[in-house]
Amino acid sequence: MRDLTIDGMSKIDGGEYGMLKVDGMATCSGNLSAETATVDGMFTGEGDVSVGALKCDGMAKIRGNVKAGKLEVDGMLKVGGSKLEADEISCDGMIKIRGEISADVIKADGCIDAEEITGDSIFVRSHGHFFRPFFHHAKSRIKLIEATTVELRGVVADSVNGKDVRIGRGCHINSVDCSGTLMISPWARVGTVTGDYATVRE
Amino acid sequence: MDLISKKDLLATTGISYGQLYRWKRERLLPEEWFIKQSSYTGQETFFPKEQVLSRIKAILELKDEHSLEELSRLLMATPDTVIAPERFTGVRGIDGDFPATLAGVLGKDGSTIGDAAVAYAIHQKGKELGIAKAARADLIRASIQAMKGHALHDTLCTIFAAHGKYHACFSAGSARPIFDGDLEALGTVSVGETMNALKVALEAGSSGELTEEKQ
Repeated sequence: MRDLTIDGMSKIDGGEYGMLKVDGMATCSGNLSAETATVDGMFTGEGDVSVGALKCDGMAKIRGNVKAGKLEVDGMLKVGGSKLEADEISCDGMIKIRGEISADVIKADGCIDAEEITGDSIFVRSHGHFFRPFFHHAKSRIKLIEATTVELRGVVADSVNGKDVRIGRGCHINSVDCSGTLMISPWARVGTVTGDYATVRE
Repeated sequence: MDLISKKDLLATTGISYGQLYRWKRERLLPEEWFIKQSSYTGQETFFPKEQVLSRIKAILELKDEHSLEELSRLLMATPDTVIAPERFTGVRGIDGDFPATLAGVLGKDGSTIGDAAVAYAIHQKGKELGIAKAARADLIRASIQAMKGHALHDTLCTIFAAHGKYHACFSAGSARPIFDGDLEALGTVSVGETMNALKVALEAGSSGELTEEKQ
C-alpha cells in the first residue's frame, strides 16, 4: 500500500493507503482506508473513512461513517454519517456528529456534540469557555450516554445509563439510570434517578 | 414479536454495556435488533427476545476460544458450507435423532449448513409440537426446497396446520406472520439462530474445522 503526504492543496479519489498525512488542504471524493492517517491541515472526505489510527490536529470533515482503531482529536472532527466507531477515542478538541459514537474507551477533555455515546468506559470532562473560546458552547451536548463506567463534567444530556456513574460539576442531565455506584456532584443538575445503586460521595 | 428491554437483557445475561456495544460494533449483534421505542423515560431500546438471547448465549460459549473477528465470521457467515449428516452424530447439543432424519430427507451426500438449519429448526419444533416423524420429514423436505436461495440469517419459521396437514411459513425479520382464524399457528422458531446453534455445536465438537470450511 502506498503512503501519501499532502502539503499543498490536493484532491484524491479515495482508495487504500498505508500512511496518509495531510498538512495542507485535501479533499477525498470516495471511500478511504488507511493504516494511519494524520490531519494537521484540513481534510474533507465525501465517503466513509476506515483507519487503523487517526490523529486529527487540524480539521476533518467526513460526510460518511468513520471507523478507527485509535482516534485522537486535538483539532476538530465533524462526521456527517451516522456512525463513528473506534476501539479508543481521546479528544482534547471537538467531535461533532449527528449520530452515534461507539468505542470501548472514550476520554474527552474537549467537547463532544452527538446523539449517542456508547461504550465500556466514557469520561467526558468539558471545560468552561474561558479555556475554549473557539467553540460555540463549552459544554458537551449528548442525548444518550450509555456505558459500563461513565464519568462526566460539564455535559448536557437527556439520559445517562451505566453501572458506575459519576455526574460531576456543571452537568445538566434529565435522567440517570444506574446499576452499580452513583455519584452526583452538588454542582450538577439531575432530573430523575432510577436503578438499583449505591450512592458514593465525591 | 416478543421483545426484551436492554435493561432486562443485561440483567438476564449478566453482560455489561461495554460488551453489548463491542459486539454491536463487531457486527455480532445486528443493528436491526436494536429497536428504539418511546417510553416514560424518553426512549428505550428493545431486542427480539428469542434471537438476541440465543445469539448472546452462543457468543458467551465461544468468546474464550475465538477472537471477536472469528466469531463474527462464524456467526454471520454464508450458510453454504456442505456438511455430511454424520457430522451431527454425537455432537453435544444436537438431538440424537437428527442425523438420521437429515440423511432420510437429503441422502448421505450431505447438506449445506443452511439446509441443515431449516431441517433442524423444523425437526426440533416439530418434535416439541408432537408432529409424527413421517409428517416432520415431509415438512422438512418441502421447506428446504422452498427456502433454496433465500437468506436465512434473519428468518423465522412458523409451523401451522391447515386441513389436517402441517405447513411452514418463512418470514424475514423478527415479526411473526399473522394468520386468519382458519389457520392455526402452532409454533415459531428462528432459522438464523438455529443455524448459529448448529455452528456453535459443530464448532465446539470439531476443533475449528467449521470456521476453516467457511472461508
